[in-house]
Amino acid sequence: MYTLNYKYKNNKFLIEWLKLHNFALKKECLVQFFSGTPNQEFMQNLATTLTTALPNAHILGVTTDGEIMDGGVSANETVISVSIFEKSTIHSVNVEYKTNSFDMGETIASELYKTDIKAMILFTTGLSINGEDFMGGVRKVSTDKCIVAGGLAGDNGEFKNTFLVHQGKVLTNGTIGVALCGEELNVKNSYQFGWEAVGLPMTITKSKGNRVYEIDNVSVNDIYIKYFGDDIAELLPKVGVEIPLIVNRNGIKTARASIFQFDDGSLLYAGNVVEGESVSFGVGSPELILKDSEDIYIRFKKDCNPDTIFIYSCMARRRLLGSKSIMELTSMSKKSTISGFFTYGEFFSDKNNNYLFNETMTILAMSESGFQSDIEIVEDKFTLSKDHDNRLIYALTHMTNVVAQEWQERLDREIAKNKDQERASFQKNKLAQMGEMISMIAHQWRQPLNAISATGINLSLLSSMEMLDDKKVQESSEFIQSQTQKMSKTIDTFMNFVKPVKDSKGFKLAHTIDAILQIMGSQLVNHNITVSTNISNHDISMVGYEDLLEQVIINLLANSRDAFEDIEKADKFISIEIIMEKDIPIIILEDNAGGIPKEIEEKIFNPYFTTKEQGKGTGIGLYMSLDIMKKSFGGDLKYSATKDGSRFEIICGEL
Amino acid sequence: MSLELKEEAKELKVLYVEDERDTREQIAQILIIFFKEVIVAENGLDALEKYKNNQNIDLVMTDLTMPRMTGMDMIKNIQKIDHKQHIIVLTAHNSSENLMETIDLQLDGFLLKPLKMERLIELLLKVTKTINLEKNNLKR
Repeated sequence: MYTLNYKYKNNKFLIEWLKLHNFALKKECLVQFFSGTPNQEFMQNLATTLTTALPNAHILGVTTDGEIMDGGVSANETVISVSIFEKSTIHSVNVEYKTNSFDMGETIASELYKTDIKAMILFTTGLSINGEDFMGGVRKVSTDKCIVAGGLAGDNGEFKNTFLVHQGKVLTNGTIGVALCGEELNVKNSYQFGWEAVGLPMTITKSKGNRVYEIDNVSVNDIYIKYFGDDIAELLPKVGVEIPLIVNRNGIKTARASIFQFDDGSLLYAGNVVEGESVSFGVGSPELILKDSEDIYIRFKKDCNPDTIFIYSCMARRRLLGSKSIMELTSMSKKSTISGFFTYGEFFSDKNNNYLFNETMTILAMSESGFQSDIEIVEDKFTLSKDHDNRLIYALTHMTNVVAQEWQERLDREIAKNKDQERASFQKNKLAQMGEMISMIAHQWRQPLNAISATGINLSLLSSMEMLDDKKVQESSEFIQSQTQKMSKTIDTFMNFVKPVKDSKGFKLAHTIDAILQIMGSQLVNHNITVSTNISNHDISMVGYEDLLEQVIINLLANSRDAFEDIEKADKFISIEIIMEKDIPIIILEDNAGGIPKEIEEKIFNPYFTTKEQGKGTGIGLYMSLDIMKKSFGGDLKYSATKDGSRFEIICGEL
Repeated sequence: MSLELKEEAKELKVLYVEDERDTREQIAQILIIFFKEVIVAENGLDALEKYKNNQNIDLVMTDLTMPRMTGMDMIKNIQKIDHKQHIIVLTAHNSSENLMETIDLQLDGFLLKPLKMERLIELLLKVTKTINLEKNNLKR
């Protein structure tokens, strides 16, 4: 196979050139033209000229943001690349955009796929297509059986109109592609990224597909203003290509460049940016920017000698590297014919997946005579540029990253410290709760102990006064046994409470309340507190860690009990109610212990805030209770004041 | 000693106050061995009512922590009616604060629960002897 390139001047010269090389007589002829004239009329004219001159050829045209031909890079010109295959077959198709980008990808890939396919080169229009979804659709068919290359059409950075040509037809919204098939055909692909993340990682907080609304909870436009200033943000979406977002796809660092800005400020990127994913801004790496012009940093291995190389490279590389972008191509062009264009997004595939890249140079190399080695990128040693401006950019980029990293480390340390502190507080609270439990047990045990000891005294006295009969002995013995059973049951209940986190499982709320009152009941009674329960439905149940909910309820009951200690009141009550509201169980605890002073109402859920005297409260009970309800039950804990007390609603979250 | 107590207490009437049923029943059974009459009450309020409705209660024995009306409040109310009323407190709360308050109230004694037999008989004997002595003095 061989490829010849031609820079278009006019139709007359073009037809002469085509005739000169006898392309019309060739059986498998692939014509790609890369045009920096994003004009429908021009594209149609060229399509007609080519189809007339080469009726048997497969003709694919695409508008660009710059053209690549042999060792040179151009803009606003048209490069025509004609490849003649001798041992392989090719065929081409076009598909108009219908429902969505994914389906379009699947459709064109299905139409191109053949069992002996080695590669498919695909182009799509550049502005309304979701390149990542498109590549996902293609992958459904191409799987890991063939290489996928190509890219999104450009329009010189205008972001207005991009066009494709297939045979005599111009497409304004769709895709075209060619399949390269044959056993003798050897195809390899590679890519060069070279963009570097700068600053701290950010999180995408609102996005849909490839449209991003918010980053770090700030509108995406304001994020650009924040980090780069108003003047740079004014230049969106164009400038988004020079400062792309860096995302991670299957472990491959790739960029997402903005291609359109909506009236609401949200940005459309050339590929998906997923809500929740971590992104950074990217800048051309110092290595990329600062290479001295003598350095050529992309090379093939010595024995690798492909016939033809197609380059589909990001528009940003032409804009950022300027004349240097030629440099990255010259070494290759010495041995092989190179052509290609600067895109709005590059297509790439490996054994794991298909990718939409931005900011990347993708390379598709092929030969019919066979080239043994893989295409290999040889990185030259980085040398700092002698150029003053470049040095400064390098220094600032470096400093930004070091400062960001320093702050991240500092932040991590603080977070770790806070976590330790929180863990210690939770531990302290757990211990305080254990103390509570033990005092409850003590209360619970005193009564049977008193009763048993009185029984013993009774027996002893009756015996010494010769008044003891068998019936009395029997009765007393049974009584003692029943009392010890009671004590044993208290221990069981207690053990159940202190057991480390039980499984998350379904449980009935009425049972939970019962168990708590078994433990706490007598203590509350001893404080002259009347406890009433109003459980509308004893089958109301929920799923989760029951002991965590127990902790919350005990905590609130103990708070009520303590609140009563500070006031004189004859009629002390706590009411416990379980209700269902919109399928969500709610436990309502109300007391008449005076409530929480208005001025501190806001603070009660803050950690370490306590109204209890020194040594009594850890100040973490309510904070922890709220935390448990939110994190473990997806619920909430709400306080409101009543006429003469407090009302807490334990909202148990979705069933 | 228990026989001696049986002799001293055989004509006396005691009001025993305890909120917990099992303890109340068991201790009441001990008291019934010695006393002529044992009146039981479940809490301070109940006890105060029974105290008012029953003539000639010689001794009040009471728990301190109880619902509705605490033992301490009940004692203060009883002492308003009869400041010489003999009273013994039975409680599990052995804090010094409680002890000090009992001293202020000039009670006849203080028993810790769970009860010890010797201490119970000893105190009851001492108090019943005093009561009988006072009764005899009153008769003469």
